[in-house]
Amino acid sequence: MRIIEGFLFFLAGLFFHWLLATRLSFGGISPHVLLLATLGAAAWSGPVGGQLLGFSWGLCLDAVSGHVFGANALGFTLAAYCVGQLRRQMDVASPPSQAVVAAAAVPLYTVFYGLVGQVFEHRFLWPGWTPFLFDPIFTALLAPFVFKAARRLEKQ
Amino acid sequence: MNRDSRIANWLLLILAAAALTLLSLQATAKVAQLRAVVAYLLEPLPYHGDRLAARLEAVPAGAARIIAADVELVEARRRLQEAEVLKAELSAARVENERLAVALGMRPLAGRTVRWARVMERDPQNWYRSVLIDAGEEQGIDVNAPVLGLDGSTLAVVGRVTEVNPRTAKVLLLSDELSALAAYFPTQGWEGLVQGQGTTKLRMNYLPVDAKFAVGDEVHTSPTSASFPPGLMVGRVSRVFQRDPFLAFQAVELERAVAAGRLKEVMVLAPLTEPAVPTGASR
Repeated sequence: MRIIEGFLFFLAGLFFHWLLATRLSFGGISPHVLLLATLGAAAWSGPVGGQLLGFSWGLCLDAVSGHVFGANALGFTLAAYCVGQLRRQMDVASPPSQAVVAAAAVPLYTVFYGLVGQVFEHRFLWPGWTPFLFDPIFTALLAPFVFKAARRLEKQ
Repeated sequence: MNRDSRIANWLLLILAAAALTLLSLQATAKVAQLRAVVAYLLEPLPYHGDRLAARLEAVPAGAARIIAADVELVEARRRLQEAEVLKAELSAARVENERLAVALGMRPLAGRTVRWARVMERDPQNWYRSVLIDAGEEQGIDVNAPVLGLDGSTLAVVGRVTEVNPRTAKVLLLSDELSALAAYFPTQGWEGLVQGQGTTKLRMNYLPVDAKFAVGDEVHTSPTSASFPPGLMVGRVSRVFQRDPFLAFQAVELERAVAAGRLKEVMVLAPLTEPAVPTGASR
């Protein structure tokens, strides 16, 4: 992945995350676009590219979230590392498996984020049951498209 | 462990350490400043993103407007074409209206019923001989009825009706070789016989040999004419023929007052119902 393309992918990820979070949010349910993009980048480019992009996106999310600064950066970095290392053992090419990976990653990430909040802010950062249950579905539906975009970027 | 994995592991350690450092020191001024800087750098995103999203949302409405405008453009072009046709018709009607307005301003010929008719058809083979008009027996047109036309604002002789159909009639023009008309020079009083030659010119015979004529002299219908009211314009002298010593009269060539090619409407006079009074034809 070249630097310029990677930077453009970084900006595009931020834009679509903002767009979907503000324009396509239904009752607080919105897809985790940046987590999905991190997984996609790690799946196609490997753990190095995925970690760099994930850390950058996470830092940006932390800067605007108002909660524990660094939690998203740490979470995305770990997610990218795991998917990047396990991509040889997983099928990341087919849309169903991509959706499954996304659907599994979202609740795990939510719990991780809550736990980090518990450690560093002394309270569990719980988003609520509705986002916890429906965000994975929404994110899983979006997964094939984001993985496809990451794949196209990796090919360039 | 290959090289990529080692890099990935080291990168994980570095980034995780950095994240944990930020998490641990988030209350410090340095981290707060870093957070503010990142937030500041991201500030244009919602602003420009919102504008971009607004533009994207406006795309369907804009496309609908473009399609509607295209439909209106096609309709406008069609109407413009119709308007061009209407304009041409209006122009023709305006010219016709001006001619008819001039005609309406004329005094009627005493004792005559006047009927206006349009020239329908002109046979190229008989261009200077006859025309067909859109009035016939049903409109009260009779054979031998005098037919007049407009020379500017003055009535002038065109010819006479030779055939009458129910709705049309044939007019033998004065320029036909078979046409003849008694006429005179109103300024001098000399009378002669105007005859057609099958061309644009007329010939006036039987004029006294000692009379003098000049180009431009007007010739009017004579009071002795059996068909035409007196005093109507026939034409103007365009040429004076040299005197023939073997003839007992002289002749002149006339330019017709009404050119056959310009005829659009003609006035057909009904048969005389009472003695005609010479009134003149000008306004």
